[in-house]
Amino acid sequence: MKYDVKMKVNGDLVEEQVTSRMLLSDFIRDVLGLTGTHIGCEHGVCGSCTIKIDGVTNRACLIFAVQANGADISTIEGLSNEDGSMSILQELFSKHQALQCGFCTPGILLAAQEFIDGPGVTVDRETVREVISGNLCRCTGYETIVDAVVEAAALKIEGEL
Amino acid sequence: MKPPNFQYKRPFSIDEALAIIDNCKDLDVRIIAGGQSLIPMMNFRVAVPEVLVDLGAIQGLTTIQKDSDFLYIGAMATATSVMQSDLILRNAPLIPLAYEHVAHPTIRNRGTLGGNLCHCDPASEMPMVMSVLQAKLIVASTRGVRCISAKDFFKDLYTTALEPDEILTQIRVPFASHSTRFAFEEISLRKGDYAIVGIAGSIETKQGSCKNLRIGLCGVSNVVACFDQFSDLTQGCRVENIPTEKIIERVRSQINFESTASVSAAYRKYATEGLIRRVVDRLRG
Repeated sequence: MKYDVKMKVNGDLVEEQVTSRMLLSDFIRDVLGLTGTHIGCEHGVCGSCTIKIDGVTNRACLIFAVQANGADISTIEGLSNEDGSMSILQELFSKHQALQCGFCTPGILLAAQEFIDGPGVTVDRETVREVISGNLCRCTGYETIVDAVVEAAALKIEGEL
Repeated sequence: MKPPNFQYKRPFSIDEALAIIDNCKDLDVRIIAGGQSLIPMMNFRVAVPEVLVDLGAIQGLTTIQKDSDFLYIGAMATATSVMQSDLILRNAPLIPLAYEHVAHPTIRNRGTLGGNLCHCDPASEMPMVMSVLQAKLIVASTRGVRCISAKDFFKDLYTTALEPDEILTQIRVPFASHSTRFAFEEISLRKGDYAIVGIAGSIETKQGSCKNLRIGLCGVSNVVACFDQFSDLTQGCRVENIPTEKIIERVRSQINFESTASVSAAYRKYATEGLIRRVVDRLRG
């Protein structure tokens, strides 16, 4: 049996039919072709598939597409500026070499952006480490990621982001 | 891995959800709240439900309210919303203290308190915290509503007192008096991972003397553990003089420490003693 789903993805209305077993992560990648959402562990540990649902980050591998009926979703493809250029946070990741292979990067960017836009934004490195604690990176050792997020947080606090 | 297909139901009221469960008596029906434990189990095919009843569209299950005696937390309130609630911080500060150790921000955005309790993982913080706080759990079925105390609700590993046709709808937490002290300590491989051992403590103080010491433990054995038989040790005692080593001995003697793949029973016992000491030190103030 298939289920009708209708949702907004990066501002566009999407209407499809899905089987119950289809994870939202597979729906985003295989049906919508938005392959910026990466799939690592498929049980909520690695954070690679992090997306935003109704304004807050979620694991796309821990929700079925059918459950997202009516939701407003944004993926890494929705993070860049409207003209397609990189957002300030993305630029800072580039500047600080906060990525190597890039597999974890979309998830980390969305988790970091949520923190920067949130009420608890701070340049405290321990806090930033906790913010990205749900996202595994096997390349960087996290230091450069923390550097990038801390600089973005400082810009936000100064009102320049 | 991926789960096999299942029938997906999305009721808009508790009554509708209960009717669905009643109509599926011969099938393996699972309730899904936030799904942050259930969906990993489905992805691994450890859980293979034939029918999934999603409580996500039911209005009114996420509210957090209070009256003069209790906090009322809707079973579908997310961990994030519970952690950020001023009402809860002011009246049951142990809850946000412990939530700091529960998973990561993104998981907490979707995971719910009710789902966490019904999953009944003894390594999980909230079942133990609700036992220490002597919370009451309100469950509904087509047969009516009943109220189960936390100590009767958590039965065994992944096993609660819920009957197959019942849904947890609300958690009632009694107010902490201003003279109640709380402490929480946990060790895990990484913060947010499963607890190797987590300890919560609470004690009521009155003009320096104390009563109703309760110590809860998660991660140490196969059951949700909460101990409250300390009155002979704390009777007439000023809070700063409670006998730490005797308390540690009493808790330790009642636990059957178990080894897991990454943690030996001996280390778990050692860590438990150390953390109880820290928790009691905090309670002494």
